[in-house]
Amino acid sequence: MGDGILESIRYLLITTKYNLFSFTYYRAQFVLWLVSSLFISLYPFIAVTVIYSVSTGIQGWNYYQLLFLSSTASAAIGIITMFISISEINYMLIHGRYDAKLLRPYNKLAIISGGTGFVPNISNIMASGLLIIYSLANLNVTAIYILEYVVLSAFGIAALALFLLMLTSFSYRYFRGYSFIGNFTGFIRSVSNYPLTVYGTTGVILFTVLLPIGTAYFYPAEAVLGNVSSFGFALYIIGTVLVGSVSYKLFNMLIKGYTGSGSAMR
Amino acid sequence: MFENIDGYYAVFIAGLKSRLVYKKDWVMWMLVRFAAALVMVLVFTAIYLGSGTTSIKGFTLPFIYSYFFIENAIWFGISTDILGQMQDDIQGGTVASALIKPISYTGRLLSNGLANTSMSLIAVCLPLLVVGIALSGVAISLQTALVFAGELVIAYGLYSVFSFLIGTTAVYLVEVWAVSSIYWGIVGIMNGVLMPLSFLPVWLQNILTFTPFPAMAYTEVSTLLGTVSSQYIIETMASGAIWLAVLACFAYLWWGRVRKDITSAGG
Repeated sequence: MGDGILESIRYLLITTKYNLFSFTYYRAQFVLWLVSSLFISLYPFIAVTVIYSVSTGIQGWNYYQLLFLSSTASAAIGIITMFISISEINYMLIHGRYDAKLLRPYNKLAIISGGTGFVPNISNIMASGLLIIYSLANLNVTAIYILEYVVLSAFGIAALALFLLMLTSFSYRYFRGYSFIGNFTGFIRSVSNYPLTVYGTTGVILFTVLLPIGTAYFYPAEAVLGNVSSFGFALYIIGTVLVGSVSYKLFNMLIKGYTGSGSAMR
Repeated sequence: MFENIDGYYAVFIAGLKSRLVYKKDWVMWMLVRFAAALVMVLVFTAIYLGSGTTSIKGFTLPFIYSYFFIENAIWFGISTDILGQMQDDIQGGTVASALIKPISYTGRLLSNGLANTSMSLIAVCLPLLVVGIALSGVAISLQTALVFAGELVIAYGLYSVFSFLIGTTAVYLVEVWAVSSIYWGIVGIMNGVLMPLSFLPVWLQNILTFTPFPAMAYTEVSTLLGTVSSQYIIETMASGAIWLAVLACFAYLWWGRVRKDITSAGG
């Protein structure tokens, strides 16, 4: 029973609650974090605005469409990092902090990710949400497209989150160190400010299949713009479920060898 | 500070070695950094080719390529790890013992930071710089190279002093990363890392000439590519040098003040 999903979800909620308390305990620090997270959501807004002020922008995308896309990406990454911090997990793996935790009778995914999230990202998510609403107000969008967007976003965010967890355990097992994983979220943020099409066919394949960043922002945004057919919608759902399942399977395989003090993983 | 030069050299060597402990991680980090440099190059390729335009604010497509490669090279090249070290030392309490060692704490920070810079310089900065210059097709004269080197020293100094000043907030805050994230986020816009400064509104460009930020990447790239006048280069270099002197003096006085608030348990 201890391995049950409900117990694991309960564990996840409790650790998240304590994580929230630990952030809000130091109020000045928390406010500074809120401001810095808010700034992260303004960065793509500034970039897009400057690009469209000096040029006609990216072909096939007007200002509001690109703003919508980059805000979607910012919100999606904000949601993931609010619950799962890959650099924190990497740090804890290296320092052996999961020694005792992994013996607990809960799902390993819940144990590894529980309480690592970066709570102040709430301001990033809210600001990005406002930018999404602002861009939608300037786009001719139907309710059904928005519904498709929400569904695709949910699947895409879940798939990317699982992929990032798998990548973290992979990095721990094969690379060690902090640098790669520490810089990876920043890299995702840079890439996801713009449509995948600007990276060419190779980029589209790379960021859809190998590093599925596009699942969390590009395809959902395409749905809002009416560029996703019913077949594409179904294919996308199957694709994200596949990415999520494979990532979860690999994550379990990689984390299985974690035996103690963060050093004996073979 | 220069009495125990061997001590600082030992810190520098130790810093280099510690960064090479996890080689695969380091190689992956390098690849991510290269890939990040490519993002804006690809975005602007799409903009230029999609619109059919040949020049935006005086920047042709090859110059935009060069701009983002060189700008990334400079930004990585001047980055130091001073902030992270101060956060660890002050919050972890090791600063208390570091302060009574026979080598100065600030000197140790600089030596270790220099180790970090050397690694970035060799692995990321130089290759990006070579690619950037080759793409621009601009012949770099000895005079330009010397001016560029001078600008780079000023930029490195400014980056280090700002990192040090932000690092001192670890004495009063639990973490320095929030302040650092806000600060470097703003600087990223004002020093031309996000976009060439000539793309920004004119009123903002005028304000920026009074700040040290253009000297922290934009001036260096513009010098190499020859996209700004000699007068602009002289003005921003002078401005950067004055800012560096003022900030270094302030950092010296400020450190004298805040170190009194450091306890054996750190900040």
